This record gives sequence, structure tokens and C-alpha cells, in this order.
Amino acid sequence: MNSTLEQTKKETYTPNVNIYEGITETILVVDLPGVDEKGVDISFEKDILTIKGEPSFFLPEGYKVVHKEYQIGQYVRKFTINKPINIDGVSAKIKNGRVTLNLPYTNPTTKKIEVRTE
Amino acid sequence: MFLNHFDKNRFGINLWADLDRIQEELSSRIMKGNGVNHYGSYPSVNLYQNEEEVLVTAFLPGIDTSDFEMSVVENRFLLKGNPKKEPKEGVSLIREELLGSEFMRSFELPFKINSDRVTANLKNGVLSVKLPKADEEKAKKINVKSE
Repeated sequence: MNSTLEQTKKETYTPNVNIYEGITETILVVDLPGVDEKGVDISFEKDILTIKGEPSFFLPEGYKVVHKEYQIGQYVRKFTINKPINIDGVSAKIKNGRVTLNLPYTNPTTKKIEVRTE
Repeated sequence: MFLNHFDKNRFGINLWADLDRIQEELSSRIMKGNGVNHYGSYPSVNLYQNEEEVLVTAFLPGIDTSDFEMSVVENRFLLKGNPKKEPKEGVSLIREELLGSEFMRSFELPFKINSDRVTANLKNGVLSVKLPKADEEKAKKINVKSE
């Protein structure tokens, strides 16, 4: 079947996100419907984390639109991360168009202090 | 104190870069948002049609096939579900934008659906359902015989 991208001019949209913070890491969960692992691009420069998503969502030819609640385009969102992130420990996974990004801190913000008796 | 907007070095370039980024983010969210029209409906659905069928596509990111069900009665298509919550340990939620509550959407089509030939596919968080017309709804060609 011949397929064509639904929209020829590509708009950029801001994906929705949930942000979780803990003692050892920050977790970002970003919705990128229509995007597979090849379409996700995550980069970290200085304190700016950028997530881009390119949907691989195709619509068969020969249909006309009768009702529209969403648009198809590129997703971009930037985050300022104000915590020291261990870049080597960063991991990302995508499942069903939802990206989960774990950003571990270089130094845990809590440190156990031992008290000695004299 | 008069602030010269062009004197970007006054407070260091980073402040202005931050402000530019905030402005960019704000305009992006106000003007275009996340690409979803805010009808208050969840999930967002597009409907397409041709001679043979209606194609329903729904944005369901993060949802498994076991989280929702569909049914067809006469000319009505029903989509309902209850996404699983994924609790995260050792962290607390500080910003919540993702949708994921219990949902139900129902669509009345202009024709009776052939329920035996309905096909559905969930890929990368986008659900596509093809709802073909029942045979009796299809226009029948009438042959005219000459005598």
C-alpha cells in the first residue's frame, strides 16, 4: 500500500511530561505518540537537556479527514537541569510512544555522618 | 534604573539565554501546545473516511493492549480503558502533565459497521482502528439490460 505523511509542512509541538525527583536521580517521562526508538533524539549540553521526537506515523492514502483532535508534527522540549548529572549513568527507554529518562546525580545530596564518642 | 534590553552582557549572557528559552517555551505552548486540540476529550481521536470504511486513530501513549477494549454495536464504536499507573519508587512527582485517567469515547458512524471485519493496530502509542461498512450499506450497482 502506498503511504504518505499526513502533513507535508511539519509543525513543532511541545510534548507533555511528568517529572519525578528523588535523592539519587531525576526521572522524566515524556509522551511522544507515533515515535519509535529511531525517531527519538536526546542530547545534553551544559545544563540543557533536549528531547526531540520525529513520528513515524503514516496514514494510508485515499481517506478524507472527518474529525480532527490532534495534529502530527515534530516534538521538541528542552529542560534546564539544575542538578549535577552523571552523564555516563543516564539511561532512556521508549515503550508505546512514551519515553522514560533516568538522570542519576553525580553526588547523592545526602551523606551519612558518623558520630564518634570521645 | 533603566535597563537597556540590548545590553546583554550587563547581567551575563546566561540570563538572557534563559529568558529567550522561557519565551520560546511559552510561545510554543500557547500558540501550538502539544499538538492536541483542547476539547477536553481523552484520548484525542482523529477520524478519516473513504468509500469503504472509517479509520479511527487515537493517541494512547504509554498504554498497553491490555489497558483498553473496543466494541462495535450497529453503527456505534466504543473505546474505553483504564491505564495502569506505574508507581516510581524513591522519587516524588513534581510536575504532572501526562494524561492517563480512566476513559470512554463513543462514536456514531453514518453507517452500520461490519463487526467481523474490524481491524485494530496499536503502534508506538497510536491506535488505528478500521471500521468497514456492513455489506448491506454498500451501494449496489444495478445493471440495466437492453431488450
